[in-house]
Amino acid sequence: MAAFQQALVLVFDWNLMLTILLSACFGIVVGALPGLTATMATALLVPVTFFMPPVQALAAIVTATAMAIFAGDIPAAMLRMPGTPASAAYTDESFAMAKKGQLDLNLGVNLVFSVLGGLVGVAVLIVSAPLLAEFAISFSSFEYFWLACLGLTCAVFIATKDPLKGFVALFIGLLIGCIGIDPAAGYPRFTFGTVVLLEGISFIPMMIGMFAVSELIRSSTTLDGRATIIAQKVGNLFKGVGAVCKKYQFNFWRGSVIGTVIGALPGAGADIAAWISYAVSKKFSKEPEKFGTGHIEGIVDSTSANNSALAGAWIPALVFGIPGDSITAIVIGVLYMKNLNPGPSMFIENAHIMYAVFIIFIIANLLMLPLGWAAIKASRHILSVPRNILVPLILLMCIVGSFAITNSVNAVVIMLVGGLLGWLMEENGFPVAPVILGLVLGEMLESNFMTSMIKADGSLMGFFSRPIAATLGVMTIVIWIWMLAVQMKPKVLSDKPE
Amino acid sequence: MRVNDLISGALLIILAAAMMAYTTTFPPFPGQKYGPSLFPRLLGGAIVLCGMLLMLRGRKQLAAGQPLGFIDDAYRPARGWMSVMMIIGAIVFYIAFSGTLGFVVTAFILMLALLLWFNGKPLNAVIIAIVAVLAVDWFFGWMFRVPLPLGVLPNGPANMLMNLVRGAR
Repeated sequence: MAAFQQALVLVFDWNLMLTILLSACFGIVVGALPGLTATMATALLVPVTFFMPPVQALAAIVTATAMAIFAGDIPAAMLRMPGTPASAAYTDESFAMAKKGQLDLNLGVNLVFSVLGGLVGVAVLIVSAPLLAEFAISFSSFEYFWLACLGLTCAVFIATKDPLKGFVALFIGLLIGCIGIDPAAGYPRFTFGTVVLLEGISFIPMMIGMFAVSELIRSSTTLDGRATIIAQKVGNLFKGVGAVCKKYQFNFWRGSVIGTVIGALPGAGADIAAWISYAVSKKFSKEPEKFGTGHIEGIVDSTSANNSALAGAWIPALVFGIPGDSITAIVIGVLYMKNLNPGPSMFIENAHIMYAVFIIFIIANLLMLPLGWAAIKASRHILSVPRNILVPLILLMCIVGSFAITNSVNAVVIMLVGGLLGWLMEENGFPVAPVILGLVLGEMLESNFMTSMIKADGSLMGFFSRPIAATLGVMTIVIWIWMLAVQMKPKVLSDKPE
Repeated sequence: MRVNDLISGALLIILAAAMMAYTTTFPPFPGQKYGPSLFPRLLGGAIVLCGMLLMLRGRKQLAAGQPLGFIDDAYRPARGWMSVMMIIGAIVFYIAFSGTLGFVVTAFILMLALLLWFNGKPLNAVIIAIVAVLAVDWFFGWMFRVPLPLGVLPNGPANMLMNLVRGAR
C-alpha cells in the first residue's frame, strides 16, 4: 500500500500532468496524419524523454501512443487513409459509413470503444502482470534464455508475412547488438579497433533511423500536392452510440479480449489485433453480408481491439522484458537507459513505478474522451497540415534527437545507416521491427545463454534440466523445426512481387 | 530498388562468413571451452542457413521469370529519385558541416533547401526554416542543455537571449 501511495504522489504532480497533456496532443497529431505511425511517435518522443525522470518518460510514451492509435481512426473515416496501420483493418468500412452520412456515429463509436477497449486492456495488465511476476520470480537464466527465444520466434512468426525474411531481420538485429563490449567476457567485438564502436550501436539513433528516417525516405516520393480533404461537418458524436453499446456489447468484450491477448503475444501489436478481431467479427456475425458496406459491427470489435492491444503489449514487456510490440520494444530500451531493468524484480524493487504506470494508463485512456472529441472537432485543421512542410521538420527533429543522445555526430551517422538499412529492407520485403527486437534483446539473450552454458558446463542438456525451462525449450524447438519444414517444402511460387 | 532473393541471400552469406572470420580473432574465456566468439558464430550459422534458403527461393523466382533487380515505379521519375536523394543528402550535409558551421547555420541551410524542394514557396520556406531552427535550438539547446555545435556562432541564439535577459535583470 505504501508503494501505491508513493505512486499517487508521483503521478499527481503538475509537471507530470503537463507532460501527459502535451504528449497527448502530440500523439493525436501524429496519429491523425496518415503516414506517421504510433511507433514513429514513440521514436520521436524518446530523445525528449531521455531528459526526463523515468515515470515522466513512461507517461509521455503511454499517453502519446494511446492517443495515436485512436486518432488513426479519424482520417480512416474522413480520407479513407488509415492514420496508423492499426486502423487499416476497418478503414474501408469506416469510409463507407461516412459516405452513407454516418460519419458522426462512426467517429463517436471509434472514440467511445477506443476508450473502453483501452481500459479493458489496462485492467488485464494491472491484474495479470503482478501475478505473472510472482510466478516468474523463480526463473533462472535457463528459463529466460528459452523465454527470449520463444518470444523472438513468436515475434517473427506472428508479426511478419514472410517468416524467413523476418528471421533474417532478427539475426541482423542480434548481430548489430553484438557490436561493442561483450556482456559475458567484456571483450570488444566487431569494433575494427575504433573507440567509437566500443560502447556498441546506440539504440535510439538506430531506432529513429529505422522507424522514422526510412519512412521519410519512402514518403518523400509522394509529397507533391496536398491531400484532398473531404469537407464533412461533424455534428453530435455521441448520438446513437448508446444504442450501439447495448446491441454490440458482446462484440466489444470479444474485441477487447482478443486485442489484449494478441497485444501480449510478443511482436504482434495493435494492427494485427485489429485485423484478427475484424475477421473474427465477420465470421461469427449474424449478418456477415453487411460487412464492407458501412456496417458498425466489425468496427466495434476492431477499434476496441487495437486500443486494448496497446496495454496488453506491456504485460510481457514489464514482466519478462520481452516486448509485446514494436512500441514496447522501444520502451524496454528506455527502461534499460533509466537503469530500470524490466523483469519480475521490478514489481518488488520499483513497485511504486509500476503502480504509477498503471495509473497513468488509466488517466491516458480517460483523457482520450475529451481530447479525442476535441481532435475530431478540429480534425479538418489537423488533416490540412501540408505534409511537404512536415517532412523537413520531422527530419530536423530526427537529427537533433539522435544527436542529443550521445552529444556527438556519430549518432547522426548511425541514424542515417539505420534509415538506409530500414528503407532497403522494407523495399525488399524484410520487416524492420525484428531488427529492433534483436537489438534490444540481444544482450539479454546472450548473457542468459552464456550464464547457462557456464552453469551447465557446456552441456546442452542443462537447458532442459528444470521443468519450466524444459517445457519452454521443447516448445521453441518444435516451432523451429516446424517452420524449417514449411520453408523446405517445395511450393509453387507466385511470380508477383509482394 | 528491389533485388531477387538470390542476391540478398548471397549477400547475407558473405556477411556471415566475414563475421565468422572476424570471430577467430576473439580470445577464449580463460578456463572455459567457449568465449565471446560463441554467440556470434551461432548467429553466423543461422544467417548462413537463412541465406541458403533465400537463394533457393530466389532460384525458383528466377526460373519463374522474375528479374534479378528492378526499381519501383515511385522512384522512376527523376523527381522521385531526387526527393530520396534530398533526404539522404540533407543528413549527409549535416554530418559533414555541423561541426564547422554550427547547428544553427547548418540546420537553416538544410531546412531551406528541403522546404524549397518539397514546398516551393520561397517566403514560406525562409520563415518556416528560421522558426523551426530557433524552436529546436530553444527546446534542445536551452531547455535540455544539449551542446549543439556552435561553429561560427559564439553561442546558441536561445542561450544568447537568455543571457541577455539575465544581464538586464
